[in-house]
Amino acid sequence: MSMPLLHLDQVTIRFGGLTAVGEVDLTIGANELVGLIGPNGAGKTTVFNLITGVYQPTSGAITFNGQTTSQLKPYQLTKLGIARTFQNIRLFASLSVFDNVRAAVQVHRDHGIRNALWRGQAFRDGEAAVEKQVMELLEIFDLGQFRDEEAKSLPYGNQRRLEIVRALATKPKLLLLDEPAAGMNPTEKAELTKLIRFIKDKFQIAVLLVEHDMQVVMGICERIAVLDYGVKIAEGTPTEVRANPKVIEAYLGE
Amino acid sequence: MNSGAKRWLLLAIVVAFVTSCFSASFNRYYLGVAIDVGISTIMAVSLNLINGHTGQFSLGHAGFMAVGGFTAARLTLTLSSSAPPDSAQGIALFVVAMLFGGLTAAITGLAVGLPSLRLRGDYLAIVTLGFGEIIRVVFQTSETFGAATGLTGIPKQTTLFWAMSVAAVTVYVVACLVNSTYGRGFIAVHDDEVAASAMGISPTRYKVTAFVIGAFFAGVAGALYAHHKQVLKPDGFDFMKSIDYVVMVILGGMGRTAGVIIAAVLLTVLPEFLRGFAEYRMIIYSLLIIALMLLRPQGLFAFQKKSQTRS
Amino acid sequence: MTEFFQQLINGLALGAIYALIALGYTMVYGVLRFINFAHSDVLMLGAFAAYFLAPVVQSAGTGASVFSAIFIVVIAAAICAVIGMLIEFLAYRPLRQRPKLTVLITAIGVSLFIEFTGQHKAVFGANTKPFPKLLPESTINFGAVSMQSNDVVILLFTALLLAGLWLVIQHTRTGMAMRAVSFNEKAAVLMGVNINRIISFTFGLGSALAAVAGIFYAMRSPGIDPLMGMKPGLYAFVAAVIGGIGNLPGAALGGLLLGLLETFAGGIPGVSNYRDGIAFAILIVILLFKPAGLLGRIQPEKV
Repeated sequence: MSMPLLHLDQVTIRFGGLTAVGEVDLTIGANELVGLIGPNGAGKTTVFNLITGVYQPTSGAITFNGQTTSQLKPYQLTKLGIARTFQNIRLFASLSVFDNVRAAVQVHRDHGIRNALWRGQAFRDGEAAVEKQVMELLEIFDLGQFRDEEAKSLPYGNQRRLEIVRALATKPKLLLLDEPAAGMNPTEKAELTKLIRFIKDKFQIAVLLVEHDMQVVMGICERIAVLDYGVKIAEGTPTEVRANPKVIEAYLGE
Repeated sequence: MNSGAKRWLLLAIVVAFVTSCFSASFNRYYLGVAIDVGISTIMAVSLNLINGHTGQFSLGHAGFMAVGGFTAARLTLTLSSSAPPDSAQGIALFVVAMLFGGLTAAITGLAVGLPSLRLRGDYLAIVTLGFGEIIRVVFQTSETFGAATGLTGIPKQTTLFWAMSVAAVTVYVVACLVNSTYGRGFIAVHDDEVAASAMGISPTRYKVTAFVIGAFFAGVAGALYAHHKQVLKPDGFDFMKSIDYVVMVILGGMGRTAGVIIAAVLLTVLPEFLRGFAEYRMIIYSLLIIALMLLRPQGLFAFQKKSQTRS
Repeated sequence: MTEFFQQLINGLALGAIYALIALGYTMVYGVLRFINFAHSDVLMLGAFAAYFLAPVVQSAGTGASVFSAIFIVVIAAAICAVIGMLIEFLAYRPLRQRPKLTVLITAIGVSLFIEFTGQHKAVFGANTKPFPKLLPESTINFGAVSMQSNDVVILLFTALLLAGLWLVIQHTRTGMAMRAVSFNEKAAVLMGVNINRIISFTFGLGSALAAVAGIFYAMRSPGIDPLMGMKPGLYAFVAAVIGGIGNLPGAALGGLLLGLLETFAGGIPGVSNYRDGIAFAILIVILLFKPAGLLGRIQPEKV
């Protein structure tokens, strides 16, 4: 592994007296697929929120692509190349499927206001390029046929997929998926597993997956980190983690 | 939509110009109402950018109108001796005054928006209401702006042409802004700030942008209003006036430009028709608001889905 | 120094009135999470109820006495409680599941309706009416400080009402249910709380307090008119937000603060013109530094 894409160095966050995440180290290389697991309340989503800038760590440092991320806001981190999905789907409810993705493409375009008001050739070319880009993405994920539907009217599985497409539209280097398999049936889970692997290969990006479902995580992750009470208790390949007595204890109790 | 938009704007301005040429032969009363309609449209459409599209509930739009109106009127009153109203200089002065009013209102919008847009929902509504009232109190006590009596003898410069043209420009700016990849950010912020932020959209920047642009047009509308009524009183810009525009936005359907225009026209003209029933007029108006909220909270003119993918 | 104490009594009496009104705003916000704009008009209706009741009651009894005053206040409060519950039932209940904004606009509509109907000549009429004396008035001298007996009555009665309210909220089943609803509506329903009844009760209680406040306010003013509720309503509303809307002690604290502020700022020449502006400026400054008010709790959004 050369220079890591994302590096968490002794990251800690306390809320009042409670240490939600304590001295966690985590490294993700470019185009690596890493899983983050742990029992309920272990601090998985908090780690996500730390990486994406929703929270600032109390101590410790996070570097992304060689750059420190402290004090950066979520939207700035997205510009640097971190995209995410949410545990409970957060699509733009009043926008169509197409516009959900289109809003996300905005990140890498400049002079928005001036262009939008002047409506010259550059604007028209730009909008045409955006449309092409959005449609390509939607087609890849079989959502093209729904382009004009309201996002909230899609079936659950498609909404999850749309959220992933929307995140990919920001052209990330690292994609964070927060429990993408939640609420899915076994068939949908199998499809999701394929989809995640496909994304990693097709877009050549790194993926950090928070997941409850062991089968999904064990099936696709190259490396897995295990959190319990905000502390990393194990890390390794799926086989190693599965055999680790600490992990078994954390999941099954005493 | 995209390539045609500018042509529509030009057409609207030409129509406004031609109609205005014949305005001398119109009934003065109807002419006045028509100008009122133009001003209401500017106010409602610009407020719609803030309240409707961006989802930031502002109750202080009349405050920005007051800022634009008073500063613009002060400017023309100070310089009118060297630029008589009918001369070319007079018209140039009026245009400068409009832009000046818009600009001061926009700066006020920035000053109000930057700190208060951190607040959400009800609290934002309260703070904007508060700012609107503070603006009114400042004008009420400032000798420069005539204190409680306000400004009088403002030259009559607002013609049908100016009212309609500025209304057309306002509609153009808001519609073009929102109907673009950039503008989807406003609606994204409206729908879900956290998700918008995670998609690289800076909620603060979009909110402040909406606020400043909305305040600018409210300021220009204030300038038009001042040079239409010729008298400006701080009392006229209390929070009830803000409510009037909020009702137009809601009646038209939040975030639907066409509906909001219809509502602005309707609510400006309707009270004129009810003049014969003056004592029941406001009772009917208030019952209308209640009935509307109970029966059609999405707005009277919201027949179609709000978001369409046009390109 | 004498003047300071005089102003202090004045400010506290005014603040007590604001506190009573603010409690209504804050209680409704607690259970329904919206600002009841019509609250300021309920207090006006309270004053008018007393205006019409006073001659009847006083001619039946012994003129303006403590008993007749209490009787008038109680009846006016009961009338307003019913009106408040009616407003909730007719205008707000059908909108329970709708966005808060819709309810807020409806409340503004209700407020306008009451104000404009009241101004109609067949109802109260727009002109100011002299408010009848409810109590024998006198000036109490306490050393060099002289105070109006009305102010003292207002302060004492308000303290009594606040204590009573606190007992109701903390020590009755209904009060507990109110707290449960404001803490978590869904969970309260699951625990068997009859939410419609609790909301109705909250409106009744808040409106009764507003009626008392309206009568107190009228006792201190030269006269009453259908728009008299706007100013105290707005101030009380600011008070509720400053204290942390949804928080009862906060509303009382905010009310007293604003009453004192208005009285003392009004006494300073040059500042008095900016009085309304200052109240809002303080509101804004407090919200910017404590976004949930002085005693309110911030609820961070879960991501």
